Amino acid sequence: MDYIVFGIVTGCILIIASIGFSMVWKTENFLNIAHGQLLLIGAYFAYLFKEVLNIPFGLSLVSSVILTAFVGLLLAKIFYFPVRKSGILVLLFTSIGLSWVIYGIIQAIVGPDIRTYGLETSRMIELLGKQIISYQELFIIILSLSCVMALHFILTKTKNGKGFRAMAENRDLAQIRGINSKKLSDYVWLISSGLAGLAGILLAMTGTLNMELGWQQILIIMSVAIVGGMGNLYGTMLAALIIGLSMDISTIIVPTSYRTAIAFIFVILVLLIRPQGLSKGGTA
Amino acid sequence: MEALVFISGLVALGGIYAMLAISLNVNGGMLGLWDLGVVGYFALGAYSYTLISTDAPYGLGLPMVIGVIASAVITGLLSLFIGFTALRLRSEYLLITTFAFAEIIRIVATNEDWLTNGNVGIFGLEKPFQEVIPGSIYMVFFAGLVLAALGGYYFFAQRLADSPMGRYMRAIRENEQVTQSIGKEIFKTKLKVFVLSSSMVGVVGCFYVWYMSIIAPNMFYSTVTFTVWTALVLGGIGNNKGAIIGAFVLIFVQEATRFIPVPTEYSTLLAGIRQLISGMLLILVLRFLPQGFIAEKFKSVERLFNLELKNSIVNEPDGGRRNVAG
Repeated sequence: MDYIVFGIVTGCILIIASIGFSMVWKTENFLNIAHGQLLLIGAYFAYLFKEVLNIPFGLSLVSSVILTAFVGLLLAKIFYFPVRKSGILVLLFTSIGLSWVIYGIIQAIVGPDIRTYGLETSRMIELLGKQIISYQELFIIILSLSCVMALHFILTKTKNGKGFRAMAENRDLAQIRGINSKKLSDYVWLISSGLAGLAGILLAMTGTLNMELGWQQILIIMSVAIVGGMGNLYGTMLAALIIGLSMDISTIIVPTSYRTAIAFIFVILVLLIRPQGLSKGGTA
Repeated sequence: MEALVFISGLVALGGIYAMLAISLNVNGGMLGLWDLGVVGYFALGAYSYTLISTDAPYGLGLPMVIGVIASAVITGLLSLFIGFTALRLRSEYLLITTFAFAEIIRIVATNEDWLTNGNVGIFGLEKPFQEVIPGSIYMVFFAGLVLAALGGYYFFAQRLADSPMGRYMRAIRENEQVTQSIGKEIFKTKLKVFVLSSSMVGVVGCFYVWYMSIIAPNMFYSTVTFTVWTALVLGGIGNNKGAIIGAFVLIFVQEATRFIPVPTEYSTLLAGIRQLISGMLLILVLRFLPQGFIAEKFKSVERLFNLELKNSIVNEPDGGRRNVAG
């Protein structure tokens, strides 16, 4: 039972981490490797607010997410937008370069120490005399579900959301129909980076905060996004849950250190059976 | 004297990365495969060599030469398996699959203590001709050895690029359907080149083991793959000379800062700045010199990067003309 709860929590964090990645992939058509480093930025902003400036955790969380969103947009404007015309390979390598720049700056500032937010151990919720889930885990699950629902609402009900879906399908056509793709892609970067920051904070909450977080997570995020099918958001959510669950449930059978290997074996198997991912491109 | 040892160490490391970049150029540059598994074959070659040539309890204690041959063969066989499963996929899908294989290899090396001694690794490994060359100038000799091997790699890759096989590889990179339509076997060629390139990387693994004289899983993080790709992009994808120059520039930029004597408390700051400089170098080269320091001899690199071509008819250096539009 514990493993299922862990798996769901891992899956929920993965959803938040990979939706943004998927959105960027869908609209800009490249794999944004630097997305992993945005997780790191968010996590360290929260550390800065919570532990250095002594701001309450809730407030630190919100302000770091907002700050990360704007940092992400700013970085995209400086580094990606000018080379958009040069093709996806240039964008891909620019994002690798940017990852190094971010990683280097953060490493220069914070050093290699492993940190935590110093949160109190949260109480367990008991059900039928059994400890099922801690408040912290429940918080993560509820938070990610509300994010998913909010995103679903934005995408299906608002004008900008519909515009995003149109733009993801065919950028030129959407522009002809009067959709302001420039403004919209700013929104995409904001949302994507904000979600990355949030995922980074949640990850650091459940584990520890170290410099390798970005590089470790981007591999799993890429796997989730690709298994989910070319930037398909709902496929991505499904894939995140499946990979999260399979990683944690597998620890019953194989040693814990093989956790990530299981995720990758799963990815390879899925791609061999269904080369287009779990769900085909389709509407975001 | 110390400076000489330092510089030859730098040259040796640069040479090792240059060999990796050339091997990657064979499949990533000339054939255009998005292979992010470099570090996997690297680790595989290094471990195969170590486990075969080291004395018991870890290894079999066979002669060094057999270790080197075995590293090429074992890496080749495993990459045959990886290639057979992965090469049917394209671009991003191939990228993530090769990446996943590389990660699995590292995780296995970390966890199977009975085979690899796990995270601790294996220490004090022998180096070639260690008994003959005095310790003080050994690094200089080793740098020479690396450079000689690099020369061999360059010569081989250059011959391959100029051969019919090389033209055929570039044809697949530029347009798979057309190449297939003139009766070439795409998958078989990709597999052949993939295995060749991986075995080349596997042999470089031996040099890395000699250089470090230890082997441990933390030497084989995915950053190695990114470094090699960065070197190739800096130098110019598809160009062997570019691969060498890119690797040396990158390694010198990363390692030269070790020369500056600083108090230990600033060492992490410096490590961060090193990463920052490499990243900025990559970004700037991509923006202002998208073809790298040396562009590929054939103009086709423009197609690889999808650059907009003003003129769709391109004059070939040998006098022919071809249409590159579409």
